[in-house]
Amino acid sequence: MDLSLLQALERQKILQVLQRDRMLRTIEEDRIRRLKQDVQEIRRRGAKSFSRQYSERTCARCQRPLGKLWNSGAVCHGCSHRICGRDLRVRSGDWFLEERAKKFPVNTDGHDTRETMADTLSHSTFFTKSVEDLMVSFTSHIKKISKSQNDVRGNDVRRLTVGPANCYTGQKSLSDTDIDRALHSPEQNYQFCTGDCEQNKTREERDILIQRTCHSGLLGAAARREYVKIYLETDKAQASKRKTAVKRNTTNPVYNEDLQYQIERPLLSGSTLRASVWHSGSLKRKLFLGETLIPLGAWCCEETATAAWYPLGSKRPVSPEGGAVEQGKAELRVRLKLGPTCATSNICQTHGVDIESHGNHRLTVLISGAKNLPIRANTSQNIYVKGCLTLSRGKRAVVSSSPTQRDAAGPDPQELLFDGLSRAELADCVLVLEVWDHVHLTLTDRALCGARLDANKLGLLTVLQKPNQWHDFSLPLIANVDSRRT
Amino acid sequence: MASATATYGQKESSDQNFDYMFKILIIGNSSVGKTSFLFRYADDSFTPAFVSTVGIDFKVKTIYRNDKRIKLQIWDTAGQERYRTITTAYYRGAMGFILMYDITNEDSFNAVQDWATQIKTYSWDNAQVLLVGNKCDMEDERVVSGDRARQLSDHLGFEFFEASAKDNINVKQTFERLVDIICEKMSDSLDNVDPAVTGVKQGPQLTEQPTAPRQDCAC
Repeated sequence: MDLSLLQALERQKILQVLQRDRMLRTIEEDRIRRLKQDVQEIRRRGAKSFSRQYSERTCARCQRPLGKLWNSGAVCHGCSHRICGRDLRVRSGDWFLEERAKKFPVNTDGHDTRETMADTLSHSTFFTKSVEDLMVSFTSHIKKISKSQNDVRGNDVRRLTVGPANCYTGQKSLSDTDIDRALHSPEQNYQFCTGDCEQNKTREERDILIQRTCHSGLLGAAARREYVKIYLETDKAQASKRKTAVKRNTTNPVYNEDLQYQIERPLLSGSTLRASVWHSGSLKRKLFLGETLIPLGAWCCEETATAAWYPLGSKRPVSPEGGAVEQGKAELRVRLKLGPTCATSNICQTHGVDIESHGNHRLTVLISGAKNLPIRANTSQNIYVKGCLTLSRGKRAVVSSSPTQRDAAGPDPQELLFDGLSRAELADCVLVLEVWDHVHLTLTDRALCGARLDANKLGLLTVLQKPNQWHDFSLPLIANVDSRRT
Repeated sequence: MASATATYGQKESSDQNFDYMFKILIIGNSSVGKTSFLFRYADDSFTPAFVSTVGIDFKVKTIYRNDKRIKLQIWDTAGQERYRTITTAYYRGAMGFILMYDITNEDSFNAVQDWATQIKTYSWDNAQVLLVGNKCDMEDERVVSGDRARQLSDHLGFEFFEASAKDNINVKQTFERLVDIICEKMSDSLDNVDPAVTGVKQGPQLTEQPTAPRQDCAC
């Protein structure tokens, strides 16, 4: 029995069902929209006024007689007249959505539903293309953009342009995506177009069409205000954030914007574009709608442009090493020595030592270098290393090296000294070394990455067991380090 | 024949001339007769051959009930465990459920409790459920007595029917009863916010314009 064939058939069958469901839902949405339009129309005409005969028991808008119990209408806050609103709630099925929202709140958990869906998707691999709320299809078309002289660059900097390309709205859809449209509701579509300019004067534009179809009940028919935010994962700094404008009152936003990055070619190969769609709520409240990760590596060598719909899924955890994984791991080279406290020989500035000096040991941390730090190469930055030693009984000591103008090669060899330690305290200490970027003219510095050493794990243990000699370490740097003791 | 039904189904689903739309889900163990039950109701047809449902399927039927035209989207789910992740995704959209077991199959009856738990987990709080013992035409092979089922349905708070898709017993009644109790639930839900009934003064928001500012009133 050919199982793979069976699964393909199954998938096809389920897709057909979903397609029928989508058609039905589109029709239903259309009906509800018209219902609501009717109510709007009646309201616009403003039925009850002074010129007309006033009756307590007729609807102020449509003049329909109101019942005593059934369809008795609700009192309008504006004019205190009674109006019938009940009918609409019944006919549109809003009553059910409201009731359901009591158990599954729409505003706060709206995306959770989709996350559940996405989880369902990822867990059942053979249905990756077909569950109710999330559909994806890949189309590809090549789009050669004019050969622009302006795009020629002498250096090896490539420009990555991210922005939506083609309009993909309601009736005036593009021919090559018509098949998709037939398959998927045009409810919510996102398009990203990425292009890069090559040194050889041709500019190829690469389109990623991102489509999200959303359960009609999740956000209701409420006005959506949506925008797309993208990050380049090689550089997790705020600087890599790009946002589109907010598109209001549309379930089918099209963003004709170019979002640009300037990154080096080798960096591009290992980086990932993280694109997320957000609802911009009132009072700066933002609601996450969906996210997708687009690996950019393939584009470096690929000559043809591809366009594809990407499924928007749940939030994915930021990979610890981010985009730095493929371009080489960020590392910090350190030498550690535990010795007796001697005369002060401060090679670096030490501040913030808040250890009571009742021990006579000194832990010397010599920072010999770092490589592959997640920073942009062409910007000079002030990198320094902050060491935080957490001892037993919750005591902490923080020592920083002085900022030095460095590039990605990392800081100069510097020493961090922790004085006045006792062996007992060191027994279960945790040493966290963080690489910081001192930003000029700002009060807050930015932590780039860090590494952690535990006394009860092998690394630091050997230092403690064999004092008075240097121990070399090459520590992998990760984005978020937990400085708490375990 | 096939094309005739297809056209019929097409017409049913694209019809907008109705008052409300209800979504109903049929669940239960594999081979209890969920698909047959739906086919009997929607198409008035029956085939004794067993064809396992792939994932999910649905049929649309418009009925006239309580002076209203009600369009039913009835989802038929696969009973097999391996489709569970897909089928449970549809629980949330359903207003009512038909939980089915086979009166000649002890296992399918024993699983009822589990299915009820699934509904509780994945559906809204007021989910309306009917317990249906299918294949009541096969009296000779019965292993689940009506009393036992009634006891269980009382315990779970569901209404109970014995039915036969093959002999067309209680099929229509089951669906109509389910529609009725969903309607009741709907009225309850509306009354809870309706001032004229609950007596709350000026309490409710107008649902068509929940946040409409004062000056927008066109009355």
